[in-house]
Amino acid sequence: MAELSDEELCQKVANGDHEAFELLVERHQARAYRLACSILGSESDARDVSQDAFIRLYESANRFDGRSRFSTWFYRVLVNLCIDHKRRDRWWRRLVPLSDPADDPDAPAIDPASLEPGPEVAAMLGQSALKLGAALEHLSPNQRIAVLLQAQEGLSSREIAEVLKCSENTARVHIHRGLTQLRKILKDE
Amino acid sequence: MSATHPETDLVPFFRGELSAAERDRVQHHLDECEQCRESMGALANTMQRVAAHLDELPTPEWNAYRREVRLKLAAHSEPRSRWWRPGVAWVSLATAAVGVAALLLVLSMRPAPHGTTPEVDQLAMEEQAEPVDVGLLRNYAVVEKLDLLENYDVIEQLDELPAAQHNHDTRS
Repeated sequence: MAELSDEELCQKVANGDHEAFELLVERHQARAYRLACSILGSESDARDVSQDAFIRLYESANRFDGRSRFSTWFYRVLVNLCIDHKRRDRWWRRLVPLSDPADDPDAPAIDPASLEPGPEVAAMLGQSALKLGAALEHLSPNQRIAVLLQAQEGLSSREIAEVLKCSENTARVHIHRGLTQLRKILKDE
Repeated sequence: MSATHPETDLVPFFRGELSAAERDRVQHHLDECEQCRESMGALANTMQRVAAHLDELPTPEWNAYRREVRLKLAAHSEPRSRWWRPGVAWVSLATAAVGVAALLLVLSMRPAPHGTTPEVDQLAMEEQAEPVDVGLLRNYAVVEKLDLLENYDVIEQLDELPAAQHNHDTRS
């Protein structure tokens, strides 16, 4: 079964195959966790939300129609859960000054995150990684997700557009502005 | 001029996402624009740093992580399967039906408020009850004078008492 593609495994999961599900979790656990960690800035939240994404995958595998790559579909589920998680925390984040939404070509559907990485993550990261993590926090949520999906998952602009539910040109703008801002922040420090 | 620089196409260009026509257009621009060449190198470098940063993030112990996923999955699916089990569903429906029936019964037995016109059924019952003969009430004057425990015999013979004695006792 290990030689099967993600899409084939997902088809088996839709038919109730637990072994296929375990294999998909094993393949995507690290990337799902890291992506959630980078978006949410908290190790425990990332653990919780990424696990929820796998539960969602198990329950809605039959809705994966195979028109897009499995990873595009799965990371859309994960990103949406991260967005929902952030929405639930909105009340306290209103007190924190956030990145300028004017730099975002689309009205972001995602609430901005806090400006600092979570203490659990910060404690375990080196200085360089910590600096880049903090710089990522300065990006608008859509820019951050676009950059992370491209850097980590290698998703194309079109696939990122699918995840963020925007046009491909807009996804390209998110990536370009996100990377440009990161470069500027890292150069200034 | 900044407007003519294909800024947002630079990342798709070095990632090989562009169509042949777009690639030629960007390549032609890059051949002549040092600023964009530098910019593209810097963007590629930043992308690599982000990828390296993600690799450095601490990760949990994966066996424990997957165990938690299994537990969550079991907890998530269990209540729903229990709820929709046919036996449970029928018992729930039957309980609800009994509850509704009891409620209707209680409501139907509530006395009508004063001043309202009695129902036709209620009048029929009252007419039927009137002719019923109650021995104790007919001889109420005798019964009234009896001590409870001492006069059981009299009570038992009440219907056989002669009318005269009855009238005498009533007068005295």
